[in-house]
Amino acid sequence: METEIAVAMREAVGAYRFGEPAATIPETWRFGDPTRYPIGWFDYDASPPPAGDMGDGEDTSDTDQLGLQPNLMRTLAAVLQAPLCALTGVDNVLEWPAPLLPFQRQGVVTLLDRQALLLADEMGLGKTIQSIAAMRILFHRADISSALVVCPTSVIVQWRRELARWAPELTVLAIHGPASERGRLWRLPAHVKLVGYETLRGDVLDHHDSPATKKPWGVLVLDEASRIKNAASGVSMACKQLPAERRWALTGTPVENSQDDAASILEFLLKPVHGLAVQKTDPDASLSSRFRSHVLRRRVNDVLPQLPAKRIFEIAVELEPSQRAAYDRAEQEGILRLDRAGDSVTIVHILELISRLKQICNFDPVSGNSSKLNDIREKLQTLTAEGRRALIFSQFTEPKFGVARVAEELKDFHPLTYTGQMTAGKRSETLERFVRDKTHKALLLSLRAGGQGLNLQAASCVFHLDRWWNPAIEEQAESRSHRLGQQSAVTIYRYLCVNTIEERIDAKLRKKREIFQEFVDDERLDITRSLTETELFDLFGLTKRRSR
Amino acid sequence: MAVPYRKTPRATAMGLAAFIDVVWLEPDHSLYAGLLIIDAIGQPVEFVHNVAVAPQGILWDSASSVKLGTPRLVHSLFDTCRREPDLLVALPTLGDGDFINAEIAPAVPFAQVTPAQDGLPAEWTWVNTPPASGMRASFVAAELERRGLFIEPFARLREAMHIVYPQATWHALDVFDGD
Repeated sequence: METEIAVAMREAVGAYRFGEPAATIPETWRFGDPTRYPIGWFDYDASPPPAGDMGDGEDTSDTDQLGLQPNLMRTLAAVLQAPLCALTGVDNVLEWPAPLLPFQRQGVVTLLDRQALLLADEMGLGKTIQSIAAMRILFHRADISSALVVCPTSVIVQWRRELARWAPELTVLAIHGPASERGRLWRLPAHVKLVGYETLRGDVLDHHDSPATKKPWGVLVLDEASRIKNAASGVSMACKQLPAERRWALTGTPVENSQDDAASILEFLLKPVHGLAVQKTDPDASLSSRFRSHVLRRRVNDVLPQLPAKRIFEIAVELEPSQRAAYDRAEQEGILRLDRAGDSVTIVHILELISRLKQICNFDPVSGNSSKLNDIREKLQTLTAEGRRALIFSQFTEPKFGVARVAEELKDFHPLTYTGQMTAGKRSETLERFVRDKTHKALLLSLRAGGQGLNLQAASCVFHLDRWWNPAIEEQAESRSHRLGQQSAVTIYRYLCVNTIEERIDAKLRKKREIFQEFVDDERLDITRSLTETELFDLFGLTKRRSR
Repeated sequence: MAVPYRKTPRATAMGLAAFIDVVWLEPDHSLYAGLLIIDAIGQPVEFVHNVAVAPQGILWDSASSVKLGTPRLVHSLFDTCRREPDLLVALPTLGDGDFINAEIAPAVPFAQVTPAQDGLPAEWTWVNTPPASGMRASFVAAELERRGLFIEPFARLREAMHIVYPQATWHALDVFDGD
């Protein structure tokens, strides 16, 4: 016999059908109002983009008619993106070295879908990685057969490294050297070619028949695209002469001074595959709205609030030519001297040579040239334009190689210095000034004096000019900024010079760390503890002759 | 310069699939529902969600509440979305074939996906007759299978539901039944 409950259930369930009056559901049920989110803005709907604003102005692009919260829209658009492997169409053959964050996947999908896009994410959100991932997928779909990346010469090494990591099967060729050599390199086959802005200007404007302009590139990427903000500059004209099927511009600061900056980038983006005429969009639309329809911009604070707030970037730079010469000379002489000293050489001598070479990696002692500083200066320009401030650590305090020298070189940013040579009162006053006076865009600290015990949340970027090679000490220094009370995500930049002792030590320690991390999660390694005497001698091709 | 590849047809031309997830959270005495429409290569197109709070009392145990509330909740999602999917996909937890035919009454092909478990791969079964090979539903299903997108969209959908219903007692679910 049916119970009362069963009868009620049968009647209620049996009565309900799609399209029938809702009254069949007991009134005691409370149904919400369904909410709809159009996600694929770029292809499917006339809906506004989930992200997109210009410069530091108010974000007004997505306060949409649906009354949905822009940030929620953005977050949902990011988490609902397809995994990259699904986009390749090649039976998931592509492997990625690390999972991309949801907003990065959204960036990749947008790049894949747009012929012209300015990826204007704030610094530290991985514009390079997103564009490499999109490029890789396009190659594998056979949608493109060539790509050209135009970037500042100082970051060509960085692009090479990231390409090797994120698209290892693609062949990469950097265009450099004398003109005749470059002519040859342009003609060599490679999936991705890398060229510096100045080199490109010479090769395109000085040669009417430049190989760079012969065939449309599948993808043309301008890294640090604000380099073409001056439409009349040679660099800008050269970039706009390049034929391409897809044009991507990458910069965290698309508008630095005036709307003209945006106009020049827009002109680059909208250039048709062939021909010189600029493609017209809606002539009645303002520059701002035309620009916005081609921009994807995310802010660190919007996309990383619930994610690890510390982003670490290891920056590899090539020594400046004069630095390279000084470095090579010092290393050869040092090795020769150690070799001649024979059995009397101790570990102290080795460490002294390492220290000397690290100083030259910071600055050429004669000319003062520094590739690290050039990169820091460039990053600081962008970061300070975004309202961010920086801590710069060095283990050296000498006027020639360390904190004092950096302060002199970066005086445009009104830096303050903080070292152990200052009195306690002076140090305290310096910290107060930095916290209170925002005109001081950078604080330069010696690692020993400034690495511990300070609260410097006023800065959200940390640069390590040179490496201490002890993760614990470096992390302590980073924690001056990345600590409770910090309102923004913190970006860390760690530098090393390629083909130097810095790179060799880093490689050795990295390998050891990998091995250790398999067994001990938080193993701390530093150079003197983790490398044996034999390994330290081996850094210079020397043999440890006897027990010291 | 070519690398190994296979040409991908335009995903939008190949049709759309709607993934439906309905979750009963006992502590909230509520049903949470989400609908994610994706194209054939997995890119999101629309996301719709809704919630229903069941009455409490002796007449309404969990199983009864789920059976009664699910159809109306699912229909509210489809009434709201603007795209017309070619294929519907749900987990077995939505209900068996009889329940789906009687209460959801799908007008397009409907598939259920059983997550991989005990070493067995994920299984895709049609609630009614499979779509004919020329139908868009058939194209979409084949493409989703090729890209490993039978189960994965449910994880995205569930993550989105966590975001839009942050106060829900998600911890009450022991495991994600789409994992």
